[in-house]
Amino acid sequence: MTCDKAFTRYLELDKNERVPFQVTLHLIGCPACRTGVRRLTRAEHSLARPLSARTGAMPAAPAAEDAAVRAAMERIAASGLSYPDVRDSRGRVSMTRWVVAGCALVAGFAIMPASSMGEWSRLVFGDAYYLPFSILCGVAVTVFGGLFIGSNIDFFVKKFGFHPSI
Amino acid sequence: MIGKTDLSGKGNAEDLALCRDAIAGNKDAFAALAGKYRKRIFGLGYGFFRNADDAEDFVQDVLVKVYVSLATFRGESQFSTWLMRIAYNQAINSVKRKREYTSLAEDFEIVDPGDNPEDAHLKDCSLEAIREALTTLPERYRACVDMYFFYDMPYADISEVTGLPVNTIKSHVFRAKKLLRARLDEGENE
Repeated sequence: MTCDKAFTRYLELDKNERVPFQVTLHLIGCPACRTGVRRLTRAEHSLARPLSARTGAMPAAPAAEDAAVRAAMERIAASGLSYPDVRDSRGRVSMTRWVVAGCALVAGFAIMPASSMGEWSRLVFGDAYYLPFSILCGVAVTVFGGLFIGSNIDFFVKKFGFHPSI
Repeated sequence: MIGKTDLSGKGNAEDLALCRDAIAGNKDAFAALAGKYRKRIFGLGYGFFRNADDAEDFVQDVLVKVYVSLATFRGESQFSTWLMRIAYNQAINSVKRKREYTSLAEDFEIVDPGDNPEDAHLKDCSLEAIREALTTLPERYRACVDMYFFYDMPYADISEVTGLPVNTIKSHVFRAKKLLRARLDEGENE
């Protein structure tokens, strides 16, 4: 194999592609081509090094301190599109518990007029009992709903798209 | 054989782990990924916008887009290739982009503190060769040559990012390599 042919074959190779056997044989026996290949490899390395993710891009400061990265993180946080932190979800109340508690609340208010306490209230207060009872029901449902929405706000933001455009 | 880079490589495994952590809500993991690829995104943006401020804005836009799309990354390609595709499409579709892409060899100061005088001389010869190769190159292929030499990307990955045929990319890069070899030989004989 001539030097020209061997070098052309070498130049045709892709990144990290294995050097063909004939080219390797030629390089072993030809110091000029070997030097040429070494020079070319060094030149390619020197060009790629500054932007390399392995070496060149390693920031001097932690990534979070980089202005562009910090600005991007702030935009993500402001848009409400952050992925929920699974480490935080351990302290959360599951959806099943919210549903069970809601059902228990409604059932409790439905059963109360028929219970002995409800009958006693009717006997003592007469029709005047209905107004405070209704207000109590309303306040309890509002508080429960507020707590439910407040603790799952990220779900509602994502579900209904309540976020500024990014 | 022309192939993509090894998906099981250490760098890609590290990126995948960071991706998983970021999707699990760990913002520090995403910040680490962003810091790792920030320079690459900036370099690409600079080529399209020729302006450091616009390139910085571009970095932010790309990082936000990458974060939002992170859950759709299936690991079928390297994370760096996937990220470069997002960045390339963002740059191509940007209203601020200049008509012609400017190669990093033409208009970008690449500072590498690790360069010794010999490396610096090699780099000068290489940049000159790439500039020469770019003069006759259609605009859309300039980014391909940059991706090969400056971003260390194989032909298949460049093709995946730009959507251009592998063989055409290969022939343009081959020509640049031939010029590079000639320049290096000249530099040696001087």
